Amino acid sequence: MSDEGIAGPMVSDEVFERDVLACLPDVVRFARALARDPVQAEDLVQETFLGAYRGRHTFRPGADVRRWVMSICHHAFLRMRDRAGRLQVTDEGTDAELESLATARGHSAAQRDGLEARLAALDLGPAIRTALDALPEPFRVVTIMVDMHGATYDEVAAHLCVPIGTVRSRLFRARRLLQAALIEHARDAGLRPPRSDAPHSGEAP
Amino acid sequence: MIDDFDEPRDIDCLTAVRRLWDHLDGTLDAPAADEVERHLRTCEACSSHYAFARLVLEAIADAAPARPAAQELDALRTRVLDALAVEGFRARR
Repeated sequence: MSDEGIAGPMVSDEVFERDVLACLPDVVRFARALARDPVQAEDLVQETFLGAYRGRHTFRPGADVRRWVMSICHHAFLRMRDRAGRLQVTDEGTDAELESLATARGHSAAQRDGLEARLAALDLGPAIRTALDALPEPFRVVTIMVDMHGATYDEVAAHLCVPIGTVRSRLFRARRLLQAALIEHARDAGLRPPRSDAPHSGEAP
Repeated sequence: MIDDFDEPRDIDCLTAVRRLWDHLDGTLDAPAADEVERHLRTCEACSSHYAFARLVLEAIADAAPARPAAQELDALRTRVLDALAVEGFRARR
């Protein structure tokens, strides 16, 4: 963003188009990660830029335009969810370090069951996306912001108006749950019969 | 004498795995991170936990929606500009 960019009390349309609309690709990706379906994602993109335009006087000079627009996108998403009456209430998770410990224990169990090696041969994308959709909203959004879009704990905490410790515990819980989902994905893959077009492994049935 | 404080402390496996996500996120302070690195150099079990956690993080990052295609972006940009025009926005187009 240039120095004469979004710095005044009211952003000109030219500056809005140049600096804010330039975030469109990032907003589309973020909206698609947050929304449950493509139609909702497109609505969310539109809501985001309408919100940014209406609130362009609230942009703080020197702040990161992309972060500002992403924040508007997430708030727009929460409003859409509220309107749909789907806001979920969930527990906050426990001590973050215990989540790390539980993650390692889950991995040990997967090793014992021979599932870790199987994961290397699987396409993990669909399993992660399904598991991410199944996460309670507070955990899902933190994962999307940090692990998919590179936000820092500080940024997420400021955006969600929660302490950094809450961001950390939600994130670690979410990662543990996603890891567990991947391990289950590997277990399920072992139960399915091999595809008829799969190469012959040479192993005994 | 400050030398005692400069020596990295040996940590056990429990401590190393409790720091797993913090270390991978780079949020530990330098002495704590050094202790983890030192432990991982000699502990195969903990190294494998860290390697697997990195794989999980990569899988999550890879599952992010791809950058939209140019045609999709053009269509969405048009839709957004149409909506903004109702608010009085005048684009160069």
